[in-house]
Amino acid sequence: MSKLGQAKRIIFLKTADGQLFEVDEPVAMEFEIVKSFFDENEDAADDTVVPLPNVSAEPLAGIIEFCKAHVEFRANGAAGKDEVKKFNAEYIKEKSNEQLKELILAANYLNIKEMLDFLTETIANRLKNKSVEYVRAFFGIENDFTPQEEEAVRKEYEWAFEGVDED
Amino acid sequence: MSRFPLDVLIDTFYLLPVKTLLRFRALSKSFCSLIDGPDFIKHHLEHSLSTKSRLILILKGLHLYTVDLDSLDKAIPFSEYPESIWGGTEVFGSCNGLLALSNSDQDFLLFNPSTRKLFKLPVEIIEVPNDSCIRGFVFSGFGYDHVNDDYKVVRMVRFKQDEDDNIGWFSEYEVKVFSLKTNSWRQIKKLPNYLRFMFQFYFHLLHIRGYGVYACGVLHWVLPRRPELGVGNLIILQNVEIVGSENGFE
Repeated sequence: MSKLGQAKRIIFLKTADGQLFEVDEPVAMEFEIVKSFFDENEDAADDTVVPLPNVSAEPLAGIIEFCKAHVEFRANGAAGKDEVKKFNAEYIKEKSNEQLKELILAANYLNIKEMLDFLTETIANRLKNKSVEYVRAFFGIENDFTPQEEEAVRKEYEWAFEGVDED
Repeated sequence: MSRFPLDVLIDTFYLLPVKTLLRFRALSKSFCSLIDGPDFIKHHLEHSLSTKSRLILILKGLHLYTVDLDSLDKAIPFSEYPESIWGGTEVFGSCNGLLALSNSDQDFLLFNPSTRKLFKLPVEIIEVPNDSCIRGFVFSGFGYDHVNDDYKVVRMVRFKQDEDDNIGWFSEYEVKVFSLKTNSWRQIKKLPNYLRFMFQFYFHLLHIRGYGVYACGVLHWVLPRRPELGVGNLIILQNVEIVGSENGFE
């Protein structure tokens, strides 16, 4: 696979819902799981399709967009600069909680540390002023307290329940 | 969303402010014990320390105030906190987000402004060594003992021959160390000679108030300059971890 005489390797990824993605090698290698696939199969053919049975197309597209931008930032020496923060803020702004969770699941499975750090920070920021009920629904946490027990736990730090977002 | 990976969830919780975590104890029984657990608390503290986040400023005017460095527009007076803290309370040390407070030389408290929990130290009396001396100034310090994973308060009391004894050359000292782990005080008997340089008239009152400064795991006190005795700018160090042993000074 050459372009103007310069070898540019493309990695093929196949999602759970059967979509095939063609990703530039440096971007695909951001995914620890893809990297170790090729580390373990050194003689894998160039057109090997890496199956990703736990990731569907939508989050994978979002992840590729994120990693592609970050690979470029690093190449331009922009890592850690305002430009990156601006991109990250813009990237996550329109994402719903559901999309965010899908991204986390996928980034966790693909094992992309930088992106995972960014996503957990985003979740922490979204949840820090939320109510207990909101967070239970967000993570699907089952409340196993009896009403009396819950009341007692809340009483211990009553002031921590002040100033919570309404929703 | 029960398939949300637990390790990612816990990593997320390490990033949350203490107030939020205290609220999230009500999520469920297992989250309550997770958040209360020593491992979680330790990781959360380590994260805060390594990222220098969640910093709190302590202000003292007529009262004591805490100000969250992330939102400098709001100072919370300590008066909203437990009643044993009032305008006369002095903050004599801080470490890992804990404050060491004193209402008198024998009434010490440890206070965690993030959880608003207060711990009163047992009263340890000052033992005057003989009838001819009276109590002089008190030097206190607070720090974390890395070796024993313990918090310690050091109290050094200087004794005077009489009210006019402002030289302090022949002063006797009583040094006692409180360990949070054992919730008890113990006395350090073998004291270094230079303790006598720690006192100079007015110096304690006007300049340093006698509080040790905790940095890099060690408590520091500034000695007054005493050119007549050949003492220039000197700082004495006290290792918090060995302050429990017989010669905890450097």
